[in-house]
Amino acid sequence: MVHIPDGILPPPVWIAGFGVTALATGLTLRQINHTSDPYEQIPKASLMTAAFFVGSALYLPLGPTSIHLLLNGMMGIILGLYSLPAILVGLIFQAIIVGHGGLTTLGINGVILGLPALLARPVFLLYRRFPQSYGIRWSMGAMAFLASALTTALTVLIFFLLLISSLDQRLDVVAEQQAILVLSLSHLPLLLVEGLVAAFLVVFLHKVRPELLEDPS
Amino acid sequence: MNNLFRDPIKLLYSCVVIGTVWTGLSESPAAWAHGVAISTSQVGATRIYAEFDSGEPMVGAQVRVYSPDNPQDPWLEGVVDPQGNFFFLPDPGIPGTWEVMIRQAGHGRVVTVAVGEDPAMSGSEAASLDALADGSVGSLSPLHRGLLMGSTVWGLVGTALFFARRRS
Repeated sequence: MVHIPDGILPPPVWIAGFGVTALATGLTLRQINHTSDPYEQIPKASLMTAAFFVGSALYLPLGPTSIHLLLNGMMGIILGLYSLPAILVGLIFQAIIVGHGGLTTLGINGVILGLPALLARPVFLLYRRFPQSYGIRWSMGAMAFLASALTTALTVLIFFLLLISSLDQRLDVVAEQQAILVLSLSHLPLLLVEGLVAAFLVVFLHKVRPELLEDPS
Repeated sequence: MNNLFRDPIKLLYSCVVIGTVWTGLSESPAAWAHGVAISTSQVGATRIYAEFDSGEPMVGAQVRVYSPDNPQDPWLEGVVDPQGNFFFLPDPGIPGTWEVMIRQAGHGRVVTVAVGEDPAMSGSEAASLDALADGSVGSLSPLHRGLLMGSTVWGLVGTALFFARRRS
């Protein structure tokens, strides 16, 4: 629900979104290109993109409404720098096939979902600084939870600020502001769900294939 | 099965395939989350029906109706009722394409209603358009959606396999 569809934002905003996303993607790809084998993580990135694409089509009933998984925190934790291009590819398919977002808002949705994902990996890696008295899995799980929840919170915050600052003056502005606020607050339980999904995935991967959690970039 | 849980790649692949089949082929519109589908029909008055693609009506969504002769100022303002409906009666003296904008919390779209241009449509008591707005994925059947999602996932998995093989 944090995907912004076509026709909602004024052209200067979504054009600026393309600019910011293009700049961030360019810097990210440049950084990836400096690694010893830039192709090494592509199989993992492709599979995670498939999971991101399908996961966003699953909804969670939440009282009278429903929300869908974002999974950008999970992408960021597992893929690191690769998460931004992977999310952009996923957003294209989501816009065309699932109807989430739009093509003109691909850039702005990249800002909303892709940029916060870049923070997930550094936050997750803070687990190395914690005392391992409860075992490394607990530390990893806790930091994966925190990183994913933080990514989701940032995503919703950017979505909220973008919409609030770009209100269509033809509408009842107060009513629209309230609707945006209610929609944003309705995503708070998603922080918990996204955090748990990431925590369980990280603990599971650490148990069965820890090399998948190694620094991808 | 035990091997499946020992190999996260196979498990992830299996989950993605199962998720694709489930979401793509589900008959329930509630399995689709949060695009919007706006449909129009004319039976006397024009009925606008607005729902998220989860199947929830867009209760309280703002509606602005623009006549063809004044696309700047709304001819009518209102909100969607608790059933997701909005009814209005276009002025038959203003023929042309009327625009109806539906918005709620950054979601919505503009649909058009033709008035007076086609005698079969104008004033018809049973001329149901039931036309989903252009580009709505709601117009795809569950089978089409499933095939599209499956093809996409297959492409992504194929990409993964291609680069994995290249490395090995």
